Amino acid sequence: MTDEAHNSPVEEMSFGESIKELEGIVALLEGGQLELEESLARYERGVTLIRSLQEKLSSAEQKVTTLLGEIEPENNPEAEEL
Amino acid sequence: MQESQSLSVSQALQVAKNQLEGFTLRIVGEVSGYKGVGNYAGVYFSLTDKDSTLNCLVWRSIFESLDIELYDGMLVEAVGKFNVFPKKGTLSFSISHMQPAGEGLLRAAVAERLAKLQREGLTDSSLKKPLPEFPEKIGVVTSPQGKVIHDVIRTLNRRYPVAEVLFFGTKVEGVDAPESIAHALDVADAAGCDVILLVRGGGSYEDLLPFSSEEVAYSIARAQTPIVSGVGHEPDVTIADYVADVRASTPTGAAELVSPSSAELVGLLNSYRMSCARALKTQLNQQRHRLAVLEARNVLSDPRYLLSVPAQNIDHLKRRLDAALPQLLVRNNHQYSVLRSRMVSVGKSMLTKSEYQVARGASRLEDLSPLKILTRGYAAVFDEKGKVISSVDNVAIDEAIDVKLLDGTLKCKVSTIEKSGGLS
Repeated sequence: MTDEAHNSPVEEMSFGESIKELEGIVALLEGGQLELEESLARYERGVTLIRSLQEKLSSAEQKVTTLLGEIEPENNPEAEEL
Repeated sequence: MQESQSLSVSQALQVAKNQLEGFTLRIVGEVSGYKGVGNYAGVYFSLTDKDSTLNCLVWRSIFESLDIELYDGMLVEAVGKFNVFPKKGTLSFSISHMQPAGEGLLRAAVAERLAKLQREGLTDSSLKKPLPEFPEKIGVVTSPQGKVIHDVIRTLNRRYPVAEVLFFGTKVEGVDAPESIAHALDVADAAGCDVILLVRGGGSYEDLLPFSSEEVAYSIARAQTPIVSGVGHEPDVTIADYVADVRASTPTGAAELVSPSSAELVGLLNSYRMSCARALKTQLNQQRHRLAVLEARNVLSDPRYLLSVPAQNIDHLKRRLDAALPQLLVRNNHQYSVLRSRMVSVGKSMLTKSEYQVARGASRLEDLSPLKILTRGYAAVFDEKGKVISSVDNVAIDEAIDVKLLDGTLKCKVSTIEKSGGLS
């Protein structure tokens, strides 16, 4: 792995960064221009990225932060349709 | 009434009063100079159009029964009669009923505003910002009440729980809604969102008007963050929809636009996994094939073949070496003998010098040897541990000591100790 960016820990990367790097790895592997050792290293990195991305997707609860006002509970008849 | 007859001012105004006050009129105009209900018996403001202004009055009791919230610039339809005040010679319109002007008029006003903003370049396609593919922070500007915010959060949670949702609550109806929405957008823009959803549930054309206000349009235009609008339901279109970077027809649609689908992403990741594995397998097979081809070659299958070429080379080199060596020897022989004789003579002189130095060193060493002292009749005394005893204080009665002379040792036992004053 020559590129330093390819060594950053996956847990510190955003979803977008991870998937971009993964796309790059898939393209490189499919290009078939790498030495076998390099291919294996990239493959390993790719699998790590895929695992981390899948974990992120399956972590079900979304974080909601309220910065202005307070969200009122649903089914408030007075406020329907706003 | 005859033209020739002269009237007093009062009489003339009385004529006007009589002529005008009988009719009930329905007037459409824009509210201006409205200062709130106040403490007067009447509520005062003007109705205007492009060229004219008409002072208006609504009796407070009537106004309160109308349930209408006036604001400057609001287009209304007012039913009433003229009032002529003879004392000042002024005219006003006394309103008995009033409602927001018909939708057609509102639409015309909005269309005019949109045209103006388009001339200012607010809707230029060159200003449209692309949406991020994988947003980390999704801002939502909408009402804190009602189901829209919950629908949006549900949609985002279902599709893309990876992102954080930042909520910016705002009024979406009423006089101060435009300002409130614009403020919430400004705050969301400054909060570092990757994309902002400006959404509102369905309502009447008039309900959606704040989203067609100039304040909101300018706020969208100055935002650095891409904004997706989703106001009302298809086919409602507000000015915000024109100025926003992307328009969705509903709030949920807006949420879907900014969120990649989890299910699709899982599929994508699986396909990537297979691509990687396939690519690696292909490469391994290629390498295996190359190896097989190489294995089949003579070089590897028959070790003698591998050695034959190097062996020939070695033979060749050996021949060259054999031929070269004698020549080299002859050439170097003379040089060698000269150097050799020089080495021999240098070595000799070095030896002589060193021998002398060694002999001198040896005699000095001998002078210093304690043994040399012993030859003169002195003795050295040691304790049992072989340590030299140099004072009577270091010996005890009955202690065994060794007295070393030149030619041997006396094993002694101390019977008495006499301490003298010391020798030196």
